[in-house]
Parts: sequence; structure tokens; C-alpha cells
Amino acid sequence: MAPNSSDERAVDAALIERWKAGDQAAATAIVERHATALARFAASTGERERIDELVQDTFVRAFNSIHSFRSDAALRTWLFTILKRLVLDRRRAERRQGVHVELEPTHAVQSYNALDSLVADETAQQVRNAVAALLPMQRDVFMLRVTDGMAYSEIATVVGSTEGACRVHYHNAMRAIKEWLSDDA
Amino acid sequence: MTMRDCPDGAIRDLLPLYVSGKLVATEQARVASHVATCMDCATEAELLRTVARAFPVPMLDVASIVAKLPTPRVVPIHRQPLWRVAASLALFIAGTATVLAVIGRQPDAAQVGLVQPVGTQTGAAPETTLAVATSTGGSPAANGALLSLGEELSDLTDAQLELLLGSLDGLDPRPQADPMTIATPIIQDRTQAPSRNNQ
Ligand SMILES: [Zn+2]
Repeated sequence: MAPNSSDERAVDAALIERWKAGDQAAATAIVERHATALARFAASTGERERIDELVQDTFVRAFNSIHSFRSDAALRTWLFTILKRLVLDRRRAERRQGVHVELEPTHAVQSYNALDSLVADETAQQVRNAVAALLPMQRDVFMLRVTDGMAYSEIATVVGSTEGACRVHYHNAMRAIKEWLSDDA
Repeated sequence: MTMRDCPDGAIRDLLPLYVSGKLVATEQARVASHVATCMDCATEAELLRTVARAFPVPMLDVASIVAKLPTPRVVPIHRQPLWRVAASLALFIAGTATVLAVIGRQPDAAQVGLVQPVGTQTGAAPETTLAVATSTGGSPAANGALLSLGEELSDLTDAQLELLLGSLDGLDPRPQADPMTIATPIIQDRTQAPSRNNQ
């Protein structure tokens, strides 16, 4: 479905081999290829603070155990899986400390207003509220599909589900967003 | 605002990939021609574009991310103190070493073995060292020349082991008067490899 997924995989695999052989520039190339998508996904899950730290930790974890990474596997999928786990860990820690309040539309409105002056138009705001109102699993699947164009099989690996279930989550999310926007209008 | 779902589920499934340009050219064109004539899909595609734009990406400092990454684990042989090599050599020649495993190419050719030093008489660390020996089928202890890497085997990457074995293939299996004259070229070869920085 995605045209270049095997090419992309091969590029990542080659970069990993270069890095293992001592080429530090290969690490820069790997980070440049994936950091933005990881950050966008973290932001879409409702993370608002220290997103750069989450992305940083994702790469550190990946590189620390890169010798165990199968060369035929997709680096991107693996990175997203690590990030997802880090986000969950952070939520758990925050909940223990009584810090985190589950993301609600009103919170999203405030935080994104503060964060984002570029995309301030009303429709974007409504869309963010609609996404924030999704169930966590729906939201993850939907955002991976929409912002990164991931195949359902890849999404399934990241969120720990099946391809078929992810397809259902995507369409349920789309329906919920449409309903949210219809009610809101 | 009311949005309906297009009855073509397969096309709807592809809309997010179409919007982010992730489809192969023929598929991209097929979806585009559908969207051009289907108001429901056109509306949904526009909604998807809005979603993609609605989440701004925080600024990331790639250089600072890379700076915190570990460096590749490449063993810097040239940094090994000479006493380690000498100590292992003494152990080997004294015949107090036990060969645990041998990865020999031919009986008379160069051999790589796991050597477990016995005792502490030479001050060698009681850790497993990688030893490289050449012999002519006689007593390896008498003719042996070896190189101690002083590192755990797990620190060696496949590429490094390849390199090491490659170096061994280039060795003259005949005994030499001074074992160090055999070991030295290997050490020099290895200095060409990228070194491991402090982590
Ligand atoms: Zn349609």
C-alpha cells in the first residue's frame, strides 16, 4: 500500500549498519528521518510537555539495544512502539504522583491555545477537541494512519492489536470525529 | 455541518494515505479521480488534511538528541595496555592456559580460542580473554603467538570478529622466532578501525 516502505526499511537498515561500524553521522540521519513523526504522534496523544524529552528517550532506548534489532524489521515501527511505551510509563508515573488529569476537550483547548498560535483557526481547534475526545486506542490508531500514513499492519504492531481491529478503530474514530464536529456546528 | 460516509469503503480506507501522499502513483491517481467526483470523499479528505495540520510539531534539536545517544561499541585494541598482551602471552607459553573452544579453519592454520587464564601469577585479570594463536601442529605452547583483546567477547561485533578472522587468514602459520612480530601487524590493522568513545 505504502509505496516505499521496503525502500525506507532498507535505508534504515543500511544506516544502522553504518552506525554499528562506527559512523556517528548515520545516527544523525536516523534521527532526522524519524524525529518529527515521533514528536507529532506524541503531541497527538495529548502529551503537551517535554515532547522533545520523549523523542530523545525513544532514540536512546533504541540505540542502546539496536544490536537486538532484526534488520528485516521496520525501524520506524520499533521507534513508535518504544515511544508509545514511554508515554504510557509517563502517564503511570504522573498518575502515581497525582499530576496527570486525563486529557479532556477543555484542557486540550487551553493547552493547544497556549502551545499553538500558528494553527489557531476554529476548525483546527474543533478537530483537536474531537481527537482529544476519542478513546485512547482509537486516537492512536487514527493519528498514526492520518499523520504518518501507516499501514494497518504497522499500526497493529505499535498499539499491540490486530490489523482488523485497527481498521475498525480507524473508522470508529472517523465517525466519532464527524459526529463531534456535527454536534459542535 | 453534516458529513456522510461514502459507500465505497475501500476508497475511504485509502483516503488518509492519499492525503499524506503515501500511495503508489497508480493508486494515488485512482483515489484522486474518485475524490474529484465524490463530494463525501472530498469532504472527508479535507477533514483529514485539517487533522494532519491541527497538530503542530514541536521544535526538535536533532544535534542535542544525537549528542545523548550512545556511541557504537567498537573495541579500541590499540588502547590495550601492553602488559595485558604480555601477561596473556606468558600464560600461554607457560602452558597454564586451558583452551575452551577453538574455531580453527584447518588443523595447521591459525586458530582462535577462548583462553581461560589459570592462576594469578602474572597478574593477569582472571577474566576470559580472546586469544589468537598460530601453530604448526606441534605444541601450541611452544610456537604460539597470541593477541589478547582483554575485552569480553560480547563486546565484539560480528564485523569485528570478521575482521579479526580476516587478519588471521593473512598470518603466516609457520613458527616465528619472536611471537610479537606476528601479533604486531594485527594490532596495527585494528588501529584503523573506528574507536569507541567514552560513553
Ligand atoms: Zn467516495
